[in-house]
Amino acid sequence: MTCDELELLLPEGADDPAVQAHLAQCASCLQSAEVLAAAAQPPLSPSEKAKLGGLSSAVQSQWVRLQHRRGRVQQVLGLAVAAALGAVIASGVMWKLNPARPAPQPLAVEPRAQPQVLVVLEDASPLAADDESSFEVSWPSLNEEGDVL
Amino acid sequence: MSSQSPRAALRLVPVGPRSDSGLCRDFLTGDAGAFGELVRRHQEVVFRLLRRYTRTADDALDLSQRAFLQAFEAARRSLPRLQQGAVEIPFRAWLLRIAVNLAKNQARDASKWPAAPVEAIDAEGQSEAAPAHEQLVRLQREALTRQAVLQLPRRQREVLTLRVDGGLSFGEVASTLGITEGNAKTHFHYAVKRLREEIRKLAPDALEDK
Ligand SMILES: [Zn+2]
Repeated sequence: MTCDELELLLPEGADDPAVQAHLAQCASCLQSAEVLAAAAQPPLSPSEKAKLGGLSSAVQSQWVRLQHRRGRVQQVLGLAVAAALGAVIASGVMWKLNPARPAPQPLAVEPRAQPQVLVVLEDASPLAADDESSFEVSWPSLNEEGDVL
Repeated sequence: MSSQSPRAALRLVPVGPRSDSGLCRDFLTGDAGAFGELVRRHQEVVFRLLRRYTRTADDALDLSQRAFLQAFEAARRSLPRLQQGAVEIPFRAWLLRIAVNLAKNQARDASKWPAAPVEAIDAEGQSEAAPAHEQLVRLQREALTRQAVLQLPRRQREVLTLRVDGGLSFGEVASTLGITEGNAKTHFHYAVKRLREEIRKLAPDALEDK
C-alpha cells in the first residue's frame, strides 16, 4: 500500500490492520492520520441527541405551515386573476352598452387595476415571498464549479 | 409443504428499507410517516456537517431544519416525475449539497471565532473533574485543527468535512458536490497537506517531529 493509497482510506479506515501496519512504520502517514483524527468533531452529546430527536416533528410542522401559506397565496392569486378578468369583461360590456364612448377608455382601466391588486398581495405575505426566494436560490441553482478561493 | 396461500406468503417476505425516492413520493402524497423516516434517516449527518460551523447546537438545528425544508421543496417540484415511478431522485445528495451551501454561508464568520474546543459549547455529560494537562493539550490541538479546517479553501473544506463529518465515500462526495471522484480525491489530498502545514505553524508542538 502506497502512502497516497493509504491517505484515501483515512479517516474511517484508520483501524484497518493493513493501515495500522503502514502507520506503524511511516511517520508521514501517521501525521496525516493524527491531523484527521484531530479534525473530527466530538461525538454528539446527550443533549444534542435529545434535540435531534425533535427535529423531525419541527421540520414537519414547518413544512405544513409553508404548504398552507403556499395554498393561500395561490388562492389569492387565483382571485386576483379572476378579478382582473372580471374587470376586462365588465369594461367590454360597458363599451358594448355605450358605444358612443371612445373604445380605448375601458382598456386604460385594466393596467391600473392589475398592479394595484398585486401590490396588496405582496404586502400581505412577505414571508411567503421570502420562502420562495430562498428555495429558488438554494435549489436547483446549486451547481457550483471551479475551485477558486 | 406449506399450507400458506401465496398471498400470505407474500406478506411474510421481509421488506427492506424504502428508498429515499419512495419515501419522498409517499410523503408528498400524504404519508406523514414517510416524512419522519426521511428526516430521521439523514438528520445526524446533516447536523454533524452543520455543527462545525455554528456556535451552538440550536444554531446547527435551525440550519438543519432549513436544509431539510429546501430539500423537500426540491422533491416536491419533482413529484410529477416521481409519480411516473421510473425516476429516482438523489434526495440525499440534494440534502447534503444544500447543507454544504448553508455551511458555506456560515464559514466566513466561523473561521474568525477564537479556537475554543467544541466540547465547551455543550458541556453536558462532560466530566466535572479538572482535565489533566495532557487532555488540555489534546483539546487545544483539536480546537486548533478544527479552526484550521474552517480556513481551508472552500472546495478542500467541503470535501474534507463530507469525508470526516459525513463519512461519505469519495464517490458520494463527488456526486454531492458535482465534481469528479478524482477531483474529490485531489482536494482531499491537498486539504490534508494544508492542514498539516497550518497546524505546524499554529502549534509547532502539536505535530511531533518524527
Ligand atoms: Zn505512508
